[in-house]
Amino acid sequence: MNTDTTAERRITFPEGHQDVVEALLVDGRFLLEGDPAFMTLKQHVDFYQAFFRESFGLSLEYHSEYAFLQSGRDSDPLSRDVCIFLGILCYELDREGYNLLEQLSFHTLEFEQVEQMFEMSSFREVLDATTNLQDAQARRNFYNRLHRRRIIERLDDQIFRFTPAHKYFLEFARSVARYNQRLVEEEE
Amino acid sequence: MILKAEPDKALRFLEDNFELFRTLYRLQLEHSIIGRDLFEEATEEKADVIVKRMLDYKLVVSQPNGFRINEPVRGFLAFLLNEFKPLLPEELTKYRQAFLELFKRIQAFRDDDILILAERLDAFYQELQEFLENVESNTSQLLRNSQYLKANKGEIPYSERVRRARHLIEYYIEPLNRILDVQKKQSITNLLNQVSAYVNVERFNHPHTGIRQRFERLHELLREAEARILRQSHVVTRELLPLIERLQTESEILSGWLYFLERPFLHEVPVMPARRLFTLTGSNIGVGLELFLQQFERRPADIVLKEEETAPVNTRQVYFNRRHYQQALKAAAPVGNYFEWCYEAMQAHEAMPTTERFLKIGSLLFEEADEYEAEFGEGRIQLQIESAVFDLPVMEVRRKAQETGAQKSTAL
Repeated sequence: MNTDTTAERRITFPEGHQDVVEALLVDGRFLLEGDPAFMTLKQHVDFYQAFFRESFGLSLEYHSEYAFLQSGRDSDPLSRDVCIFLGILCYELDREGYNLLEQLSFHTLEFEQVEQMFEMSSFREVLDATTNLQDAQARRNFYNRLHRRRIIERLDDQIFRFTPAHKYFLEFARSVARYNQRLVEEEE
Repeated sequence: MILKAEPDKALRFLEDNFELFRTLYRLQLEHSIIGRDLFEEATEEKADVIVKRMLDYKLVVSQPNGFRINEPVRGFLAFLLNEFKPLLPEELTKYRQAFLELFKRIQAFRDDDILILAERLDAFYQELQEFLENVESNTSQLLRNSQYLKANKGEIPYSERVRRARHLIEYYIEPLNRILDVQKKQSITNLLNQVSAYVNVERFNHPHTGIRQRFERLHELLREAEARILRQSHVVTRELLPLIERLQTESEILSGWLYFLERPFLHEVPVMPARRLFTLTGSNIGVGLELFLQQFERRPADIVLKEEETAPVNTRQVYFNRRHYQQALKAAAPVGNYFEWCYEAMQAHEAMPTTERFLKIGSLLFEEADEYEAEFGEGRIQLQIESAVFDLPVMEVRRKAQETGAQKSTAL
């Protein structure tokens, strides 16, 4: 933050400040590496940590490939839907013999292919119980939301790919596994 | 030594029955020894003469608990098939002991028989060759094992894959890395470096030509060894460890999701970025406004309810105005014929006189028993209300005098 100690204190904001705030606060989306706003954020991480904390009481979660503002809400229905979606997708991809991390990080996926996996999935019950994932129409809306939040990137009507933001959820899955592993070890 | 055939004949026999040998080799790789039942199963469709020759040529030897492929043949098949069991690093460390011992003896050589120095140098050369070959086949085998685990061709469950990956890292890959790591004082590579420095000097200094030549040859191999070990070390650090780590990560992610999907609606979820509509007002204004609006939400409902009720309802018809009759009775007392008075009061006040109303009015007296006293008179009176005819006694009612309030006389 640059301050000027002339007659009145004036704050100058980094260039692209509006884009950063709009993406993080107004759109509530993941800001991704490669995005010009991400560059701004990267160069002024400390400033933005303080800015969002002081102005809105929100903490900025900054990683090397993505950043977002923590909502502060304990439970977000979208987050649960994303977890269920990714969980089932990972399971199905692995079952079909794909290299999971490679597939999610570097390859494009076809909506059609994903739809087939979900239609045939053995997690039918879970899907039925999840309003936003239960049928093809609901999932189409869900894909749009994922796109708006920049968890996936729609390349056209047929294909999409995951943005680095998906790693946030994979990390969550790892932490779940580690937690359960510890429980098992403690029991032993 | 094969007594019963020429060497080339034995080799041709091996060639002719290569598939059988491959099967036997794999069985031995898996079980260390080929049990008799497994051996019989593998040779079931072969003529007896083949089994006999296999044993006669000593390609396979019989042992108390089964069969084994003769060691030199096993090595040859391993080389041909490029399938090994990775050596435990402990098996590789024996080379360090051999190198160290030979190196000490070579350094300590003074005026002994020159021949033993030559033989030790040859032995060193031989051991080093073996060591390098073993390390190379070991890393390639480890790489293959890791890739097999990675691709999950055996469809092994996640937990098992993680366990195997950990096992590979802990017992094979990391110890192998320690053996190859030149920075570690205890590593074989470090020892070979020391040998290399010594040999480099001796290949020029040693007075004996033959020995100088041997030093020279060893020096060349050592230089080559350096490059080869470095390459293997790279395979370990650049490919094996990341591969195994990635496998572990992947399995961890999958098992994490499976834990999550066991109870997807109860499990906690990660915090998401939330959308905030940008407002210029304070954070409480939303709540305040909502509260403010809530009062209007209710009011229209109330009004509708009242409007619906007032129109058709006649209050005189619906409500029994007890107070009116109480006051009327008070004003009228004393009343000579109580029930007749009730009838008249009802006719005067009620829009629709009913028996129910009449009984209600009539019961007033008993509710106000403290204030009134009644006395039965002569005769009875008939009153008709709606379709009912009441046959009632004539009863005089008057207010109680205050001083005689304690005395009550009640009728009926």
